[in-house]
Amino acid sequence: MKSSKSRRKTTQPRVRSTSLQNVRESIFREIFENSTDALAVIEPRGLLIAANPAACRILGFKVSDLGKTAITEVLQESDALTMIRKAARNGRGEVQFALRAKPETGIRVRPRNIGTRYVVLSLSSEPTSTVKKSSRTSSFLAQFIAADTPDTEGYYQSIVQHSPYGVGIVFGGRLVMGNPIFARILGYRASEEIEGKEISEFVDSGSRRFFTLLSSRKVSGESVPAKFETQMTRADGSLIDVEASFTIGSYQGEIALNVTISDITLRKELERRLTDSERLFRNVVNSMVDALVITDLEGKVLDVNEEFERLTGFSRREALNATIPYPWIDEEDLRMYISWLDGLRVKSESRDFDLTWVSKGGKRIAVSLNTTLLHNASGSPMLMVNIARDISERQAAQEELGRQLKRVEVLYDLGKALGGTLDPVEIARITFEQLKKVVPTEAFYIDLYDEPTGQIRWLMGVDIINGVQEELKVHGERIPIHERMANWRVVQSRRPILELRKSIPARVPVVPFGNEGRASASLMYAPMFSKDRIIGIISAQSYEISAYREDHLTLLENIANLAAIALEKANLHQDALEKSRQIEARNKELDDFTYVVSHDLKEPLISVEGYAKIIRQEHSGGFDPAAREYMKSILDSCGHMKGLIEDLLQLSRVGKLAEQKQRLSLYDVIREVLEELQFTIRERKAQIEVDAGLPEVLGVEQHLKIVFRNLLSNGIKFCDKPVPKISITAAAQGSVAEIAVKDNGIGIPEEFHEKIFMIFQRLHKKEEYEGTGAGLTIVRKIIEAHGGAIRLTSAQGIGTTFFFTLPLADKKEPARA
Amino acid sequence: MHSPSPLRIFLIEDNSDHAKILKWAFEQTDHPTHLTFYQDADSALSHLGGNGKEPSVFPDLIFLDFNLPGIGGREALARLKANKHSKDIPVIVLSSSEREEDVRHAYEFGASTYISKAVILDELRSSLQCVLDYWSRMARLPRRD
Repeated sequence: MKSSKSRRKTTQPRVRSTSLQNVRESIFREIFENSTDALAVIEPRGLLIAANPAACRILGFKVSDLGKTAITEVLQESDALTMIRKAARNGRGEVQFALRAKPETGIRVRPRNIGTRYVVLSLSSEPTSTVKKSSRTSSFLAQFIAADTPDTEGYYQSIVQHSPYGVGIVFGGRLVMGNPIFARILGYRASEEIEGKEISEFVDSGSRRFFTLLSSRKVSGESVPAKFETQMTRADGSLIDVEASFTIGSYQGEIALNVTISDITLRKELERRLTDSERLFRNVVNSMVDALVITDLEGKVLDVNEEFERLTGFSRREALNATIPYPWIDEEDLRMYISWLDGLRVKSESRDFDLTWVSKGGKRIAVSLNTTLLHNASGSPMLMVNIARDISERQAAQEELGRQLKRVEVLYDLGKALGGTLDPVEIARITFEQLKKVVPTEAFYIDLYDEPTGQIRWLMGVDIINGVQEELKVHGERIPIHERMANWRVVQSRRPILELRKSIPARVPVVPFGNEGRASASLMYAPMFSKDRIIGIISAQSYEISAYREDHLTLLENIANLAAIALEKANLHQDALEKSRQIEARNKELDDFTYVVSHDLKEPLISVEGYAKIIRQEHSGGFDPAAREYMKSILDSCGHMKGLIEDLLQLSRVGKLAEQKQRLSLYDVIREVLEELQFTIRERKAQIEVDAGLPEVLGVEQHLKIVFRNLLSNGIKFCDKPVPKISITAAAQGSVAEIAVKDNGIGIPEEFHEKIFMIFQRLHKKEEYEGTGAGLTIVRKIIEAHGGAIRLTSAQGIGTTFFFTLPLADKKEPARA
Repeated sequence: MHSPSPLRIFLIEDNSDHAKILKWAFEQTDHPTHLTFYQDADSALSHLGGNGKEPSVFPDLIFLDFNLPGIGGREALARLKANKHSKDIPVIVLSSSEREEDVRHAYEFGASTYISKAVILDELRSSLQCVLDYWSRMARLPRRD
């Protein structure tokens, strides 16, 4: 049953005859097509107009040849048609022929007339007996079709009995007859089990009303569907899907209803599965977050999903069957898209491709498109699947990221550039230049704010008028902050202000600065914070309406604070410069004072010493020994005081000539000092070692001589060993030389390491060691005036080493001879 | 070395103590000298034609204290060197300053010699001896003008 069903479906187009119509047509068609007998029908001229699969097989005949080929063209015998007609007239005649295509094959043909014009042929290449047996069907058909009026009941019953479908005759709502197949479909073994029952018993309650309605309509001659699907109840109570059709028949002379049913369980199941998988497919496709467009290889749209409809605004109906150029692809991108599709077709490569779609409403949408070729089982391309993802958000995010990066970059650049200047106006300029890169700025100013006095002072401003940038002249008067409304509000609220004017007044009475004929439409003000203190107000303005958003204001705030830091730094630097200038001036004053005082002290001293000497030389003849002793003391004191004054004078002078530094060979300097000291050295039998590799330094020759003279003579003087030993070495440390002067003297206790550098500080009684106590003070002042430092290490009884640094001379220039 | 006639010397010195000590020091040298003291440069200059009159006498040497009050030693030296009657007379600068700056200025303004006053008496005397030895010889050379 099932197999015959499927064959029926596939062979349906074989019947071309149009003369086989009326109520019996369907029955005939079923029998004809599904008969295992080989049956063919010819028309009066001998043209084959119908043939079932078995007949086609025997005749070696194609369905497409029906209606074009005469039987005489198939059979070898030229008078075949005459012979067939003669045999048909005889009723039971059988003719034997040979196939034209295969002469060795014999075919037996049993023809019967159908009506007056058609002949049905029962064909066989089998032994005679088989033909005879199967001929029953053809004879039945011949009788059945030939009848122009309703046949006798016997015929009908015969039809019903022999039908390959389930056929039942319903009369008065009762199944008066059912063929074995009808019984079998409904789960009964024999016709007897169903005959005599109400037909409604076999119809599912859900379909009963529909079934009854159709049957009554059919009986009363109204139109009904040729076929319909319904469910019937089987013997075991289960339901079965059937395809049913009604035809009009007769029963005992009355009009009866023929019900033909066939089991469509398998078909329904297949359909259901198909539906499920299609529904699944559609669900998947519609739940995709990406838009989907399926096209054939030429680009004709076969299907789209809901996301496509949502994204583009084109409905599925509008999109279906659309061809390139699609209305939703941007014109500029179209050429690119087409050439890309060509490449896809050739190379079968799938890849992502960014392009712009345009929605039905004209909105531009950035999409990332991936197109893939779908291949059939044999590997040839069949469909193109376009998956498009809306990347507008991604692009917007990328653009935003780009903007943010630019801002970070500007802030970084600003920080860097501001680090390079300590000039407040320059800081304002740099701030403006960087700000301009990220915020549309046509006017800009910085006002400095002094919190204690509540006054502001204009630092710098810029105005761009008609593309010409002009720095506004500084008129640094201090004015109370409340005279500048916006500044005042910023300081009061300690927050930035964004002011967007709806329209630009043609002329305003007060314009903050610059463009007198035109006021800004978009204005931002931000406080410049240094820690918690507002040190200024920065403003960026534009002549455009709505030029700024909140994020611009945030950016201005950040920039303002960076500029504030730079301004604070500049201020601190200015303060520091001022202080160091003051210190320098005070030092100079002190030096001058020392010099003048020392000098003035010297004049009377010269007189005292002069007179004392005159007295000693001219008038000391009558002096007693005590008077002579006193005279000597006066002269000694004069000598000591002269020394002190000389040291003071020297000290006041060494700080001044540091600018006259020149390239000096340390070795030469020391050699000259040693020459000066040669008397002392010889007297004390001192051994002085000087490293011949001493570097060249930058210094004031006379001052460096004082340094070495002091250190060397100290080293010799403060030595209790029979042979004072002093060594001078040096080591380069980057751009400076550290010079070490090491002696084997008495050493200096650590608690005095700082004290020895203070003026007129002596560690020993004058009787023990001579000296004013200013030497090391002078040495340190000289070293410091050279930008160096001095320190010492000492071990009592063993010796002292003084270390000091001096700037190394540039290696290129030769030293002064 | 003994000279037949004493060296005529103008000593410009505001400090009378120093003037007395210097006078004593000059006497210690073996040069006969004729000292004329001036308290300031202007009075010395007026005797050197600075007042428009032709000077009657010319000194062989001028000793000038560089620490003069008023116009100061430097200006005095400049005027002496600007005055046509005194511009060729050697000027020996006496100073209590050993400051290099002062020494340099003295020579720049035309001083012939710079002697520190701090080097009193013994040294001053020997220095004076030296200076006088030298300049007495120079003073006796025929004048170029």
